Amino acid sequence: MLLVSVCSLLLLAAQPAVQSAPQRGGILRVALRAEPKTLNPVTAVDAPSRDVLRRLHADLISIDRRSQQTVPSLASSWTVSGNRYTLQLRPGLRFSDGAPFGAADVVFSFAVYQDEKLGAPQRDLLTIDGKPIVVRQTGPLTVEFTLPAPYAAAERLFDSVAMLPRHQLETAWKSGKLRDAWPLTASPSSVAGLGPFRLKQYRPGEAVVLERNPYYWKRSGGETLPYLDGLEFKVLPDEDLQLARFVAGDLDLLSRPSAKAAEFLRAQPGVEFSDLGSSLEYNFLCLNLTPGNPKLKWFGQVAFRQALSRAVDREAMVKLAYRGHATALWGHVSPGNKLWFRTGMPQPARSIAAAREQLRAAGFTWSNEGSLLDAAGSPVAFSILVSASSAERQQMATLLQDDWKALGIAVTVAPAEFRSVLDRVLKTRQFDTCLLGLGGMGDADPNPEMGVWRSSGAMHLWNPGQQQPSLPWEAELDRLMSAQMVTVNHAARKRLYDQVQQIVAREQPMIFLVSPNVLVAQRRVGNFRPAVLDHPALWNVEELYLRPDTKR
Amino acid sequence: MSARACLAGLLLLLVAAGSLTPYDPAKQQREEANAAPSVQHWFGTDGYGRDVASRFLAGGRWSVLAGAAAAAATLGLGWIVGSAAGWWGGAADLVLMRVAEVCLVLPWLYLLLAIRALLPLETPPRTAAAVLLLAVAAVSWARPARLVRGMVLGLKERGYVEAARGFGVPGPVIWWRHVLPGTLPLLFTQWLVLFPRFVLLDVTLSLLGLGVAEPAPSWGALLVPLKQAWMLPREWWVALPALLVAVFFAVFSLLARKSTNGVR
Repeated sequence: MLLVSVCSLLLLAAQPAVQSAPQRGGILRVALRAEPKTLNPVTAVDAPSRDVLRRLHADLISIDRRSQQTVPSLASSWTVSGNRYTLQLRPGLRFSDGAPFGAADVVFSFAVYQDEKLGAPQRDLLTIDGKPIVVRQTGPLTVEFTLPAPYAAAERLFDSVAMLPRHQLETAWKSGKLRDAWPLTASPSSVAGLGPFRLKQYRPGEAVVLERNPYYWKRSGGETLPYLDGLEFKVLPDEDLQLARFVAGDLDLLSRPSAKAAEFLRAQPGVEFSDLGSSLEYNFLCLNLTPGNPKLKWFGQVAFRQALSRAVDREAMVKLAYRGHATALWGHVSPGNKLWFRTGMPQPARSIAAAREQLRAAGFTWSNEGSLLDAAGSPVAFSILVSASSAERQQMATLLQDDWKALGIAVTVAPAEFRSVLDRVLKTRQFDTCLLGLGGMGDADPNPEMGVWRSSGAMHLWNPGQQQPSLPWEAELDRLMSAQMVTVNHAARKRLYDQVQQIVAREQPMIFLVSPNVLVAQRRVGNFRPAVLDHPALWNVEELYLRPDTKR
Repeated sequence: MSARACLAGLLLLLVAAGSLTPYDPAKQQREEANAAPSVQHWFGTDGYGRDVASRFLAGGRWSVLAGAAAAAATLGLGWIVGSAAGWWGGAADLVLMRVAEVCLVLPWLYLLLAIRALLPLETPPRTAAAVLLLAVAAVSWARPARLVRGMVLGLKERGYVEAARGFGVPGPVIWWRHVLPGTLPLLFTQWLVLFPRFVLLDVTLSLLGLGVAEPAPSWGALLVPLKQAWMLPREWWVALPALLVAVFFAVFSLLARKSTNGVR
């Protein structure tokens, strides 16, 4: 009998995990890297606050994190007529305090976000060509948005713009006190939203606890969502601590652990570890092409930039800096960006010989000691500015230093505190080259990166804020970016943006290196469908559930 | 004698061994990255495939020399300021000691961050690290200066100093020939206290990514993998440099204590 029981247990254990029917109840415990600063969507700029707020609030139209396409959210449908978007809201929606939601709340929310005095981070997105989007209520559940100029994929603007409860915040807004509303210490009953959860408790320095929103509108198979009773965000500022707590069973999932932790997590029993592939982030070396930079005599030559790129060992970066959990890049759009990645981009293999030949053809020579000399006989030497707090980027900088030593270039790696790096790159422009990352976890659409690729942009890192594009290919980039911004047809837009990618990859004002992969780990979370876009693990939190043996 | 000889031997060994490294400490062998200890690589290889033993020895030579130089600079400055304040007293003493108090309360970490941010980016890694260490030395003289001042105040009341005065020996000569030599034992013990502190400072700066930059080897950079303690069960050998650094400080501390017994 005992033998039969043991055999049965062994057989059960040997069976592959079966996706069970969703279970209701339980608290999902996740980590935050820092304590949120606020519960106010109008002032929140830090990632921890946004992570919490996106579970408390909802937007009109969302971007599905898996397909990267827009899907209805609080608005059940919308129509487009020229620059006018008309959104139809779902009937019967209620805030988490039971108050009804309607078109007046939408108009109020956009008025708040567009209020110049409040300086909400959403305001820039809701301003096109320097003019605000005009929002008008046309019925109890109908809102009309008139764009001041044509804007492609404008419906993506609505993603993550949280709808605010007019009945709770209008008084504070009118009295000029909205910035102070909804601090972390706010009473849970005073914070109403349309998200799957509502505030239950804030324990300073320890955790933010959310509970199920009983008025949440989404259903699955006739059953109300979310499945979870609650969500606990634990403040754990250190990755080592997060890993220890995860292994000890105090956390149910980990979002974006470092690549170095991957093997450790894989080895843990009961942990499902996923590498989702390339993120939208692109790491690159930016060359300072600002007029007056003494190194412009080298950096200004496209052959020099291309030779530098040709000598880079991207595979070593993937293997050594990210332990294989990254993707080599030759352009700024990573393969993780399903809608905009341009397939068939040239990916020239690393070749020191080809790089040297390219330099020779451009008039460079070598001294007897092997140092690279420019046409005037000056030795080529420059520095790489890198944040001291990023181990991966420091490692990439050291690999670049060694790669370019093979070309005879003396490269100094200059680690600096992150704010000092930003200061030099964005303000003083006192740097030769800088290793940075962009793209993050934001939208996959090109429009949020207008400031990077247009010559007048503040984030046009190699030579920002130009009155007129200084180079013909920059003028072409300006034209293509402006054209794609107002082209509504996706295929036509894609063709324009493909050209942008082609020009950037050819001219190499930035030398693209790698895109880190999105990593997630979880133990026994049902309906877990991680995605590349933010938040990789919690984007469908209303559908997540805990398998029975982990309920608390 | 034996303790001092051992101490000197330890430091000399480290300095000499730094130039006898089995591999070029900066040479990357990327296909051999993160390798476990072996006959070829006693402490394994780092994330670039560089020999960790060679980097430990080369990094140790730098740390020892830089620590010794910074400690000497601190003591030199403290010696001059402290003895001058003690010998001349009055307004000079008042001003110098107030300056010393200001130096004592300076937040040196922020000072270092500011200096590092102001240095030209192409400053060679070791020059940058040396500048930072000297900057700390330049504000660390206050404590030894106060000790020297106290000693000089006692020494100048001694009989032989009084006698020299009585014979009409000029003040600066008395200061130089009869007072300063009396402070030398204090300087020796202070050097033994300050030297490991500066070595540790060099290690800390490199650990924070603000000390000796790549590709130059440093002890602090070798300790960086230990920030991810969870890696230890898989790559236990990354702890070897830390153990050796700890042994160095323990042995130094033991020998230093023995060699100062005679001074007391």
